[in-house]
Amino acid sequence: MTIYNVYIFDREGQCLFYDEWFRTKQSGLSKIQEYKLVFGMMLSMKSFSERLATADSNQTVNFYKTSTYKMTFLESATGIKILINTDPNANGIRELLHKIYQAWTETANSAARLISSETEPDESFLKSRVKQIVTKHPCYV
Amino acid sequence: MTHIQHLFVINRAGSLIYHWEGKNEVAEIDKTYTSHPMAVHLEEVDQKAVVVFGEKEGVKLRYYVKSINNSPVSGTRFFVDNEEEPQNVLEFLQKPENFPVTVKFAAPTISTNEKIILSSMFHSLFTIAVQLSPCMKSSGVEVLETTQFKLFCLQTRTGVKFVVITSAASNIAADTLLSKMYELYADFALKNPFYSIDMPIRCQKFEEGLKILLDRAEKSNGALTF
Repeated sequence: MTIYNVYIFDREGQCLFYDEWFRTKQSGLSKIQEYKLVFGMMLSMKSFSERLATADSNQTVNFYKTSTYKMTFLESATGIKILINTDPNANGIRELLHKIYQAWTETANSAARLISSETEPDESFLKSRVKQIVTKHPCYV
Repeated sequence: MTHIQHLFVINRAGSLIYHWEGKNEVAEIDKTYTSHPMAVHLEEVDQKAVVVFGEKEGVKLRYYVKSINNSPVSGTRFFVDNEEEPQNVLEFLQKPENFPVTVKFAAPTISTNEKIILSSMFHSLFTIAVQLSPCMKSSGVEVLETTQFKLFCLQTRTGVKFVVITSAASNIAADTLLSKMYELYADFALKNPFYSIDMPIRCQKFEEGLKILLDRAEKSNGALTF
């Protein structure tokens, strides 16, 4: 079992955070292009599902799976989107996403405080926190 | 309520060549509005007058106008008694003199046109998933799960995709179902001398076989083989 990579997007589609651990294949695009493609695909998947499902309650896309990986989606009420690629058989990824979201809100808030006091926000801090959370997860390695 | 909602067969270019839809009851609701303006807000979406705001008393979002004063609406147009020219639904409902009015709303359904759009949309999502793979030799989307449905897809060596959509609660052995569908396709569509490849499948034997297969799949809900 493996956890490959994670993307965090804001609601405009700007990639706020990216990190990878065991990624063995690159998409062959520049990073910016890849973020755009990932975000665009997620939006299309959402609209695809909305068109397909005719029941009236709200729906959220949970994940999609291919033969080698699984992409799990989480969207917060504020429009922050977290996407994570794992092994197709990984369990408990939703909980992992919630933890990452929590880490994100905490560090993003403190970063905002840092900006207001005119000091450089420490980006590597979030990176190490996410890494800490991910490496602790049983599906890592 | 059946578990299997849709079947699609998509050819290698991304166009829909066969579709089947489970028969589920479509909710309909009659409303009489006595005064202008109406409580619900309608807009034209995909050539239908659709509720976009103000869901109320059983009229829900995405419901569309099916008839007005018992005259059926096609698209956004309908005929008022004794008139030659069709009227636009949205314009008709804007005029206070047309009230009181009885409007029949129906729950959204997927038209054949939309199915064609959805198929090509899925075809591209499938391809993008291959490109975004973090590891080598990935296939395209095999399973897509939302809170409302599960989608399973089998792509054959020749690029034909078999897609089955079930309810979120079902645990039908979709892999078996898909490979059986592939078998039927090979047996009754491909072996049919009058079938030309990549064209829509119109074949009685295929449909009969599919019907039997779906009945069995529906009854054996959860079983691994059927």
